[in-house]
Amino acid sequence: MRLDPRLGLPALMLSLCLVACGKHGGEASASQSANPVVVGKPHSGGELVFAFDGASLTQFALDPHKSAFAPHARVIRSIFDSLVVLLPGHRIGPWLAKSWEISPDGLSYTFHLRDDVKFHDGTRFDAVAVKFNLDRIKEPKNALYALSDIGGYQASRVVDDFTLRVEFAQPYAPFLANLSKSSLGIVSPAAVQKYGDQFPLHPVGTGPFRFTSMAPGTEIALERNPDYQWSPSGAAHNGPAWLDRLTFKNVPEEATRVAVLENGQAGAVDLIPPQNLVQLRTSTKFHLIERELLNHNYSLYLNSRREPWSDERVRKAFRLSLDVDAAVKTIYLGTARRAWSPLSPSLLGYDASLEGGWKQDRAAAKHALDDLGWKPGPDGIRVKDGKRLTVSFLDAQGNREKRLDLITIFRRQLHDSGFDLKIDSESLGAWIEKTQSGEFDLVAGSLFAPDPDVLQRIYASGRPTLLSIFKGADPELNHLLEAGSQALTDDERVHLYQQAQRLIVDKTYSIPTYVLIYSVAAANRVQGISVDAHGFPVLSDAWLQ
Amino acid sequence: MLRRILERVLVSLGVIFGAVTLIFLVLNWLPGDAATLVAGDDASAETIAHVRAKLGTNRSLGAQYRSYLAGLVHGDLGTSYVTREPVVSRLAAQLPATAALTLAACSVAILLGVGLGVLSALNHGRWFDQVVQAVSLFWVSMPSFWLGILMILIFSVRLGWLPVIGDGGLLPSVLPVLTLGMVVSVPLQRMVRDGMLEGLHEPYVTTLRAKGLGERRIFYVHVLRNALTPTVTLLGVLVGELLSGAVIIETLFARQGIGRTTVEAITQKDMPVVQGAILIASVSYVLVNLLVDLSYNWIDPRTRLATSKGTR
Repeated sequence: MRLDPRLGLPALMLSLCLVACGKHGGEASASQSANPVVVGKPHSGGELVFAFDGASLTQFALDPHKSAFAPHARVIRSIFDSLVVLLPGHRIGPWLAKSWEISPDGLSYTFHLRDDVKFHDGTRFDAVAVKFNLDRIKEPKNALYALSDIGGYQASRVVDDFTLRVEFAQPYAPFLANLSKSSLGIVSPAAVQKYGDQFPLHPVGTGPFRFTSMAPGTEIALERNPDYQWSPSGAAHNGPAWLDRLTFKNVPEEATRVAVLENGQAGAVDLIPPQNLVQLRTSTKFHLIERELLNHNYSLYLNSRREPWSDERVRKAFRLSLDVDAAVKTIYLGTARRAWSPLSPSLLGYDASLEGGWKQDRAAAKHALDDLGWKPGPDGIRVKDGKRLTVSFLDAQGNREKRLDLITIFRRQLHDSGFDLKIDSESLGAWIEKTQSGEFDLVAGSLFAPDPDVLQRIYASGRPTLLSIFKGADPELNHLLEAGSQALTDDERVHLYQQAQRLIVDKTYSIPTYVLIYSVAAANRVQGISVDAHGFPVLSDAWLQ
Repeated sequence: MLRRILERVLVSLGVIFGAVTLIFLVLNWLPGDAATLVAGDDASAETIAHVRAKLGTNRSLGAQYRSYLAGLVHGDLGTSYVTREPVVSRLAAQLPATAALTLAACSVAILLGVGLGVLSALNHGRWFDQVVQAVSLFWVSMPSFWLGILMILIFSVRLGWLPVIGDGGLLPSVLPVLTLGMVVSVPLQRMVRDGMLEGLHEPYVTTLRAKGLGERRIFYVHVLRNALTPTVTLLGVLVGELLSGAVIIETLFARQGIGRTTVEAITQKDMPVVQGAILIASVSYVLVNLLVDLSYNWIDPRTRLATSKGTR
């Protein structure tokens, strides 16, 4: 659920994207626009101003382990490297780790690290540094968001300077995919010790760009790391970034982002609103880079712990009232696909057989509600035992990505069947309190993650966290999700997650809406920008004509 | 006069103290727990308890309030819950941008408001007056957000005269200052125009005319001065409008500012930051209104007389 308004938000709120790749994912879902792009030979030099949607942020927190907020992660990716990189097709490639072995029981990972890597502060990257990073995340007192990415991590043993063995209490299949996230980027232990609480304002990593300065809330200035020789596998070039300087500008208003692209104040901007995407596709001055953000799709969750939503038939009637295709088409103008599964299509285990699995059927919805004793009242809203069929929709993110517009269309569709949807807008703090206590009928959100294990964060009822916005308790689903996070082969995992997806859709535990596409628009003088398999921008290969 | 200023200062301190106390109570009463927000998605109860102890939110309300006031007296506004920065430096980084924006917008509003108000009154009922009234009605009815986008499209994208974003510097400030200033100028313009039109029918104008004073002098010296008293009062009220309008303008033009900082801090329940921002807002509000009060002495001799009588 991607609530924008804060720095260290639950990842859940964050939204966008995750790691990637599906059997037919990865390549298939990534698309570079067909605009005529002038090509040439990449060369060094110049400054790129990248205007990003930083939401209402007025202070940046550039600690990868602490910031679960997608806009921060987009900047963090340029400053911090990871041990491994996610490649299309669910493959994991080497980065700061040259190779690794996993023990047959899945409990221990041995990483062989590069021996030629330095942090921006000149200190050495080695096994001790990686151990420091993982232990830092595990320490509860540090209260770091990345904790949710390391599962049952127990301890790290330094075998030699550049070999590290990482041990788990139970097998944790998402580990490698999670390691490729920027949230497990490697920070400089020396800098963490030096800056303490202030590290997020003085980020030091090993990445292609190093931090130079920030203007709180508006600008983050980076410069090329001239020593960089450790690009991830799959990168367009190995070696230092082409750009001398990379400046991120936080431009939260979408119309303003488009304006600064058009008037030349920015070379590239992200998260383009649908109406402008349509326009830019045919532009000869700008080009688009778009890619699916790996994530749990933005979905609606009825509170199945509360009457009447605890009854599966009422949830079904609710869903049958919706025309998701029409709503998504109206709001996103064909720039986003309609979602059928909770998982975005490029995630491991995506079940394509769910596509086209149900369609709007108002007559059936009305019939079911009549049978259940919900009769239309004088104003068309159904009533049973004096209680109106009201759906209180709890929201804290406002209209980011036009999500409230989407809900408004659903509201009209639901009204036809006799549901009365009311929007309850709250601050993030209140939203969390109410989702925790279950004081709502409906919530909606997305969550970015590189692995189908994201389902466990939302639907598992055993150990509720802030992300557990699914309020039901289904032992079968719990079992599938737990087994999925521990299974040792991809085939086994795919099988388990497909069953889980079907269960979620069959029982109407959630209603997926659309597949989020991350977009960057760039002036043609700016070349080489790409979006990685997670759906985050890669700027180390960008160059200016 | 001195005594009057002293009285006003004391009352102002009371107002500020009240505002700070009220916001402290309201924020605590609102649902949500800063520690949960800071601790992370997967935080255990133990971690959350640890964060609460670190932030000091595990103490009783009374204890939190006392330590806040104690800090305040020493000029210490506390530390942000979320970013662990001293609130003073967090706000100090954002204050200059907001101060520059609101002061410049206020000047624009006064120039436009009084200027157009006087000209409209002079040209009462003629085309100039009608155009000004129509445009200002349109301007004040549209959301400032939308007006800002319109300005960007015309002056930046289409004509290419002005940049849209940029901290500091004169050029990037033109559009935000104009947008905010024009919105705030409308009520001033109305007040000046109506005040002058009414003033022209007052008996004292007839007296002045009978004494042989020139129309120009009557208009600019006597009638304008009379119209200014309520206008200045209104200006004091409009400071609130400027500050809240700044939030929208700061977001639209991607500028730094106290407004955005406050909104963000409220959603995060970052109490020390919100309280610091409210303190700044209430101090500026009180200061402006103090100046407004004092300016009556200069604008309206009757209040001067009343004061000196009172002090005697």
